[in-house]
Amino acid sequence: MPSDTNDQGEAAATVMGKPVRIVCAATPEGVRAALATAHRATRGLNLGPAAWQNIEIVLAEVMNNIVEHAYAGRNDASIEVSFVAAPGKLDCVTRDSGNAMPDGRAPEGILRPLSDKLEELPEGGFGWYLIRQLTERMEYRRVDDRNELNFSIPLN
Amino acid sequence: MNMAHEIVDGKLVITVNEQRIDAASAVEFKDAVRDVTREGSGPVILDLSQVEFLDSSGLGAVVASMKLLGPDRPLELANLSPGVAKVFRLTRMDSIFTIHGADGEGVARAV
Repeated sequence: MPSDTNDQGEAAATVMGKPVRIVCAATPEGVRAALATAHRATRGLNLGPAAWQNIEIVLAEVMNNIVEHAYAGRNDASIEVSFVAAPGKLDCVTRDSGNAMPDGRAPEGILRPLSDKLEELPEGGFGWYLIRQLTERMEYRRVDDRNELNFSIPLN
Repeated sequence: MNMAHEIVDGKLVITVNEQRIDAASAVEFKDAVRDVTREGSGPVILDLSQVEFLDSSGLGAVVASMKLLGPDRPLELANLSPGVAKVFRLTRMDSIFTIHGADGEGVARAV
């Protein structure tokens, strides 16, 4: 049985439509490593470069938000990312045991109007806007003391 | 953060020799740009041809660098890879920056 940390196993599992599961440290470096593993795991899907770009942006932003907001500076925590290929899309789930989303729902991700004054340009607040642009079916649930985010990334 | 810089036709060209500007390296990026622009004047061109991935933290660091340089020292971008160009386009930040050499035009032509 291929283990879920074996790169070959993950790639094969993805092709067969079985879920890939990656657990990483909830740190910026952990997120980086998880994205590299996800890239290898999706290799067997023969995705175009644009599809992988979308997956990488969405998973990075979701996981970075978990590091920065759900865990808010804790460095002893972990994030679980699972995904499975479906026709035309990648179905994804992330789980963490950090703080709940404010108001119990995923942010709308509204892009603020860009100021024409240099000093007023935003340096943040792009993350959820990018996620919303590149996903469909975003569902947030608080299950016991854990956060669970379900979403799909269109691949076409 | 591996960066090279040189003056080309009176403009400071900074080449980022990294594959990623992300949450793990955004602060380092901002500090490195500050260091190489501490002296001098005139426009600064950031060549991002080696950068394959930029997340919202990386985008924030590029914006912060532009603000730090101020209105008299515009920060321009060159040679965005497709994934990086997509992040600028989706966030409409492509309307804020002068972007050279997108879609295959080289930085030599840009400067």
